[in-house]
Amino acid sequence: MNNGKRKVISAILLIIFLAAFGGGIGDGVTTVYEKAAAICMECIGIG
Amino acid sequence: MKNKLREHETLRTIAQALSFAFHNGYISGWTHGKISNGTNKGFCVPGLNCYSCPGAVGACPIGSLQAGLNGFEFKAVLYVLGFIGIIGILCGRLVCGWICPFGLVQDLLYKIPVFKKKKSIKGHKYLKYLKYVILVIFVILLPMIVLNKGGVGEPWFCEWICPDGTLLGGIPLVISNESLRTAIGGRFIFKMTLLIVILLGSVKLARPFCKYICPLGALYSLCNPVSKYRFNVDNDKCVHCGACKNVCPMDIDVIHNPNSMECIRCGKCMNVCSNAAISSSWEDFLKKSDKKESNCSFSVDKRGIRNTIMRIVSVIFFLASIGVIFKNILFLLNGILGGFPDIAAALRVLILWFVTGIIVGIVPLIMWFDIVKNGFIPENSNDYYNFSVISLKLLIAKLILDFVGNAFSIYCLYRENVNVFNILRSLFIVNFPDIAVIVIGSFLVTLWRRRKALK
Repeated sequence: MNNGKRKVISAILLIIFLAAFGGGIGDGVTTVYEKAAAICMECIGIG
Repeated sequence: MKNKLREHETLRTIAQALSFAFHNGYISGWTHGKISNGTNKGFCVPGLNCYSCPGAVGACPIGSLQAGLNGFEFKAVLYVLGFIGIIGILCGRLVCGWICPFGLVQDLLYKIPVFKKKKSIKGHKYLKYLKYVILVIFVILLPMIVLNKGGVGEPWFCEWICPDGTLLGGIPLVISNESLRTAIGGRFIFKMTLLIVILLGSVKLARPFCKYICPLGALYSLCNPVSKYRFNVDNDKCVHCGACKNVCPMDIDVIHNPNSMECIRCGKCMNVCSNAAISSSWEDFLKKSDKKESNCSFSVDKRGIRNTIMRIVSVIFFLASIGVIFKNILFLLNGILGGFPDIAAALRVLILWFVTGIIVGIVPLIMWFDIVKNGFIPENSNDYYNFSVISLKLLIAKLILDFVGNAFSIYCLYRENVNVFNILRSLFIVNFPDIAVIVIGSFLVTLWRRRKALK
């Protein structure tokens, strides 16, 4: 892959990920918080 | 070269240790056997760090991704994938080499001089794809497809594989929390066995978890070939001695594939090369700036953009100096009028906030008046630059002193079981004007230097 192509792909992907991040941040943070704020028994190997 | 490599590795270990402290900064959790439930837990951290770890201040991206997928929460998946993607596009697997807490654990274990070291095992060529299989099956498919009695999927990777959850979550919680100790069962024994295998493997083999298992590394690795931070090889300088390949912990042929998906950007290859044939994109950027700067000639243009920018810088520092003095006078007045809790607190405010605040605020102020007195635009533009740099250094010193002065307050709040993240947030808010001035000032000085270099 030449440098020019790589830069274009990189810029497009960055825009896509920024859009995804921006689109999901409100409710996404709430969902993640609901899971992460309590101990996940299975994750630590208990239960 | 060996010294250079040793220095580089020390620097990397320090960076990893600081990152470990950042990822696991909820001290109260460690001591009381509980986990943080502050709003900060809704935000992902870049490295693999179990959110059920007592010290965790944020959410593990892989745990969060499974949480989004198993509950079919579309926005959570977008948020987590967006987060991983942004980090991946900007710096690729630099996170694995410099930030990931479990990476630090493996690196430290590999330094133990017990077994004869190996860089990879038989079948490495195929086994390196195992992490992608784990990503697809345990992180994406199983949490979505296999539902429990409540109709919700489960985080399969965290439940059955993740050694970080056992090491930094399970073991500390089981030790410090008696009720959890009674609930230990077969799953805990299975995960402990897996953890021991991985830890023992890390003593013999460089980064086995990152090479063959880590799904977060797999996601970041997909971004490695197009990431902004990358390595470049100068074929004219390379003598094909093979030193870079020998030192690479991920067993990559650096010369032929400097931006391999396996590369964790540890930078060992760059520092072992005696001909400086390998460089990072960041280094190349700095070199270009220096080259342009060394070719520049200085001329005074009172109406030019350089002087306009420096006028703005001067005004910002003038205002900052006044602001710093007033802020510290207000702190002292507040203490005097409100009544200090004890003599130690009074001395702390007097010495660390007031005296240093006044000194740091007054010095740039005197310099500013001196410049005004001797003509607002000095004949030599270097005066502007020197003035700005000194002011920046003073403000940074002030900021450090502020934080030192607040260390006692942090300790007191920690004793009262206040969330460390909230304490740091308050500190940030208090010091925000200074931070803002430093950031803006640094930006303007950099801009001015670049303008000067381009000219």
